[in-house]
Amino acid sequence: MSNNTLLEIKDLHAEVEGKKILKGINLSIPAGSVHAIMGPNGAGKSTLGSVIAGKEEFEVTRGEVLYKGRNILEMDPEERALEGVFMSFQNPVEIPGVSMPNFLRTIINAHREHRGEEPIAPAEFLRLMKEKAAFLGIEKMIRGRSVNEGFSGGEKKKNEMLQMMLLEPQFVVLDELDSGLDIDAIRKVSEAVNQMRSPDNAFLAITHYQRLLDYIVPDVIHILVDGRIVKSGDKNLALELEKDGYEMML
Amino acid sequence: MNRSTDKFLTLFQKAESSLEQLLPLGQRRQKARATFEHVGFPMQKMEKWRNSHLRTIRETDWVFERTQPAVDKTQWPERFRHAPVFVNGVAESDDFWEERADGVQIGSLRAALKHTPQRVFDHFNKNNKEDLFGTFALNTLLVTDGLWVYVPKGIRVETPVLAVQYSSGKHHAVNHLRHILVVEEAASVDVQMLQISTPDDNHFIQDITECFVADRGIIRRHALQQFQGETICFSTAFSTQGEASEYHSNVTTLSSHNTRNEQHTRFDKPDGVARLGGLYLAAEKERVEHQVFIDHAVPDCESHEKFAGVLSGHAQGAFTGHILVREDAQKTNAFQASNNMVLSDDARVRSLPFLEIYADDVKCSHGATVGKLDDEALFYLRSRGIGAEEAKRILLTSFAAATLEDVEDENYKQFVVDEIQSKLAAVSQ
Repeated sequence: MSNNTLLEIKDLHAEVEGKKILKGINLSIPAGSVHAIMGPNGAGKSTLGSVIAGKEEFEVTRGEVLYKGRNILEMDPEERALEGVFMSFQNPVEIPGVSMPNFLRTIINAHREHRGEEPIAPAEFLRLMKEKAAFLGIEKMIRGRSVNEGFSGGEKKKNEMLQMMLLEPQFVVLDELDSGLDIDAIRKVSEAVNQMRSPDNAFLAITHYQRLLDYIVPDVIHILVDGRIVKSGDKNLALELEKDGYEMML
Repeated sequence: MNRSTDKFLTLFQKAESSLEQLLPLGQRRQKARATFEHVGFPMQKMEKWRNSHLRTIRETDWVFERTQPAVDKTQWPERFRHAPVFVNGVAESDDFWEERADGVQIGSLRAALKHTPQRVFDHFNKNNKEDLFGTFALNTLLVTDGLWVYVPKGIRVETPVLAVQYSSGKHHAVNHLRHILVVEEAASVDVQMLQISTPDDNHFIQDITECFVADRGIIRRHALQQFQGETICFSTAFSTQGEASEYHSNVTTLSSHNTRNEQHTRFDKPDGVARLGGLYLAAEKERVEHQVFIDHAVPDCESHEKFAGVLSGHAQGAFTGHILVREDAQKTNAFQASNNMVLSDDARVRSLPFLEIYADDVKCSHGATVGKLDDEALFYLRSRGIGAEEAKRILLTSFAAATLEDVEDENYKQFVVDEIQSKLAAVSQ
């Protein structure tokens, strides 16, 4: 494993309710890169994302997920987050009664506390929140709203991007970022991702359609079929898939 | 005749002269005695008392004592530290009376009887239309004092009226209070009461608040309950509403031994609005019950009920929401929500909507949920770096705070949310 590997998945097997979903995943994602996972429905793409994020319903039966050399499978979801892992959810849940500003400030401060920093000053928080929300075009969703409550699909995904921009994570899983989005929204969320790309962080984009990858251009694409990576290649692999479909991969 | 009825009648016999010395009601007590003897103390088998715990009341030899213990305010929220206090049923100060230049009167019922007896008796027991369970009768029998607030026509009292109902004593004594809140036409007032007892307390408290909301008037009445020890409290608020009037009643129970809260309102004229709410946080072996009765006696009125419970340990909660829509009450809008979080295997809650609708052009909805915390929401918060325990508290607090949405006084609302947060932090699952 090179020093520059941010996330390494070794022989990962996972199941849910006794059903085997991931059947031996091996993946190495270096800092500074964007990897994409594509595959047909039921291949296990979301499961992979959920296992990295730490959802309890999924049982890992074999393997490791090493993030900066540490096996994050032994860490609680909050620990993973504080260490710099961020998951943009496919269907972000609504949390009525928890206001957006309070929520954003709480998560920013949770990260600051972890790093031994002081909580964010109120004025700075407001400025930062407004700036990032304006960039994404969701300033209206910040005022007087509860987390994701009444948000459209696009607004929910933009809220995921807002949190990503505020928390500045090191490893980001984008779970079907483009699902349910129109072209303008896809452009906007991709812009948010691209703005954040640096030699120190990495992204794993899980997607069903090739279109997102026109905007978030990956360094490597992996095709996941029936719980295994069957092929890896560069961004042109997406075009091949578009032409020939997944069946050609089996 | 049941045992409880006998006990209270005997108690009254012994205490009558002391009671009359404190609060002279004349033949009203005797009249109430006859009613109480006839109706009797409620029994477990009665539908509206099924979820109440009455055995201790039945088996205890209750006494009446005039005691004035020193008031220990160390556990009190800062907000109420300087408010007038009713200690074991009687105002701490003998001359708790204020009559302002604009005619607003705030004081104890005892003082009001001295200063404005006619007005007091124009309202005392006037909310009592059908005393099905002898609540008014028993209270009239044994009442010693209460809060009196009178607001003349057109006056809007800007600062909330605060008071504390404090109980401390371990001799199985009774406390009966009658609070009377009157607003005349287009007048308004906000009353906030802390009901608190000490860890060694074992009083049986029965308090009634009678609210009179005249045409275009507004009464906002809030109670914050922190009962400890073995305090039994049956707290009831009755309201009658005039045309285009507003009545808000909210009871937050932070701790309880055995508490029964009743909130009633009756619309006497059209275009009235009532918002009734309550929250109970019950842990260990606490018992809290909420009963609501809304009488849509006339058309074009709106009522909203928002109740929530968070139960853990072996706590028991109950909610009964009775909405009566009479035959002529067309264009009634009535909404009821009772939502409960049950955090342990042994906690229990009963939620009973009871809609009695006789008009045909009405909108009536009721919803009750009993569940646990949303796992997805919990995971979402944790995935952002919030610890599991804090995530639970955040969700529980926002769940509980939903019952305070209609509270106008932002200050009071934030104060109660802070108290809820502290209480939730202390409750272990």
